[in-house]
Amino acid sequence: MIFNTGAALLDAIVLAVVSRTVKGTYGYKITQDVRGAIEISESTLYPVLRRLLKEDCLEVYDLAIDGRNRRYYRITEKGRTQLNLYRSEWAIYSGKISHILEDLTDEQK
Amino acid sequence: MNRNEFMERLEYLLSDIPQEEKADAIAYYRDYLEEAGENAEKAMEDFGSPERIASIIRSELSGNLKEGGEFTERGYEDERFREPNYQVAKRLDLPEGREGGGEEKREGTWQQAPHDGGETKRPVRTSRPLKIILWIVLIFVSAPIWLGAGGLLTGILAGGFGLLFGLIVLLGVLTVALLLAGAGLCVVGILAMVRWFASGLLVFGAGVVVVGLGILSLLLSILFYGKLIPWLVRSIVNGISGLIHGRRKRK
Repeated sequence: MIFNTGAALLDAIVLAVVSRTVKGTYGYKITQDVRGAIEISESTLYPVLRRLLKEDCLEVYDLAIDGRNRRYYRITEKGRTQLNLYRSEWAIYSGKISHILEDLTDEQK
Repeated sequence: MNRNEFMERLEYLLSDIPQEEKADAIAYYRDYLEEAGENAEKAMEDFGSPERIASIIRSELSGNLKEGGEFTERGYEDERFREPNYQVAKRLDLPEGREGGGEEKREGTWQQAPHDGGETKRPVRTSRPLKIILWIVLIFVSAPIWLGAGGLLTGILAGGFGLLFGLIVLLGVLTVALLLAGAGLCVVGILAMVRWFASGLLVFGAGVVVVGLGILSLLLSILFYGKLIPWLVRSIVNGISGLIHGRRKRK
């Protein structure tokens, strides 16, 4: 991908990915899901997840899977609010960019 | 380096951070590699070195990316975090990110994050005239050094400069003198014509010729001062900077 992903957009993508499952999801899966959308290194998400935790946008709980604990991340109310803010901002932003890039004349719309 | 070695090294590198933070980080990366299963090798390759992971964890802890990062024309950058298409740095572009304390800063960036348009600034250019002036100053300031370096060269240079300086002064003085004298002769000629027409006319004619010469010399001066000297200065400056910078090409 040739376009840069800013920190805010990455936050938005992570929040969206985590919010897709009610019971939450875990680090490796989040990374792989995010990698489905943008190119990030496998190590990138730890600081992002930590920051979102500190900002109370995410919460964690541990669940025993195959005899060991797996740490699950779940979106909080605050996280959901933030995600909605990102969504509306993104709709406006992407709408404007698409509008310009697709270069439709008024008649074509 | 296998997975265990990697994690041991990481644990060692993080031995000075708070126990809880360290346990969290270690658990995250250990779990990550376990979840990766057969892709663990690839994931570790992507991690880079334990040192890189440690620095990511560490700078996240300090609340910002102070260590190793720097402000550039394009905002805050951290070499260790540079990865394709993700600018961790952008978040810290905001002024609050630099000045405020940990939590306060976080609030600030948080609220502003969606509006962070990723502004970029044009790189600052140094002006060429300024460079030339600086070079001239440098040349004169460093004169004692290069004067000592070669007597002959100095002599030739000094002679050249002397000649040039003489020419500059001479041409200016000559032009002014010719113009003044010509004008004077014209006036005297006109005045003289009233009494001795022929002689007056002769003087007046001579005056016109001198004024003509003056104008010619003026044009020459304009050419000389306007083109030749700047060219000379430029070529001298370029020559010297070329000598100093070796064969490097100038933009």
